[in-house]
Amino acid sequence: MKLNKEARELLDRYLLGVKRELTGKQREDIAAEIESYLLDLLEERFPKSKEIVESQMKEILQEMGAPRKIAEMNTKTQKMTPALITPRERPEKRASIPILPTAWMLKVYHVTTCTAIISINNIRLKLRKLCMLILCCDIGLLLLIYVLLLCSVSDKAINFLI
Amino acid sequence: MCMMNEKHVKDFEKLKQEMRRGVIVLAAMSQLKQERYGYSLIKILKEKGFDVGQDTLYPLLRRLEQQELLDSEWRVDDSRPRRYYTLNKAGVEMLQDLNAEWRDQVDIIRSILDETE
Repeated sequence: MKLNKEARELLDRYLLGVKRELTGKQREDIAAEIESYLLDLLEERFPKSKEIVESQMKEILQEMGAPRKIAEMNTKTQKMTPALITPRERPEKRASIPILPTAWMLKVYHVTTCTAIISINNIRLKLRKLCMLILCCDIGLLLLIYVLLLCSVSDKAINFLI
Repeated sequence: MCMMNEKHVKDFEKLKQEMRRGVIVLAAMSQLKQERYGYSLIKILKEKGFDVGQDTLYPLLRRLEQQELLDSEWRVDDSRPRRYYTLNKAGVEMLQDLNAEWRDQVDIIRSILDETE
């Protein structure tokens, strides 16, 4: 039994779809076994055909179902042997990681500006007081962000080390 | 009433599949004392009245191999490669134990069912 060009192409595409969902060394093995099964099935279904054509291949593949489903079936059972230790869950990506450094930079900029304004000698008292107030708040926030930044970094470091 | 029946049939199918699930391994192993490839195993089981799909059987075979109860080998015949499975020594012993266990369970269940009838 042979496959014509279109049927072969269809089968290859199907198997590629299965492989795409698989990883590791069993990837090729599982795909090869599915191919072997399909060829046996074709031979039995169309015993008189010397050459399998696209429509016949389509029929068989439609019965098989989506490549993703096939791949899922095959990987699911591999995990059926229960593991004593489940893989550590990946920490969710924290929004704080990109935000914190930016906030840190902005705050540093803010503090420097305020300090500069205060240090100008002949400046209005009210403005200086306002700047002092802002500066106090800023330093507080700066410390808070710094602590958060350290936490997120150490969190990452810990995850990396474990 | 028609709806009832439909639900009954559907639920029966589900429960039946559930009941059968555990026995598939016994059915498959019983036929692997001699080497067979996946498709021929499906066929022979079907001939004997036990219907099992490739989507159930292949993962099962793979699992049994991982548990080191089956040996497998790719071989080319009829000008195309096929993967042949056979029970190894551990597999044969496991089959014996499962067989005995199955018979025990059948006896127990039968006596339970007889009691309540």
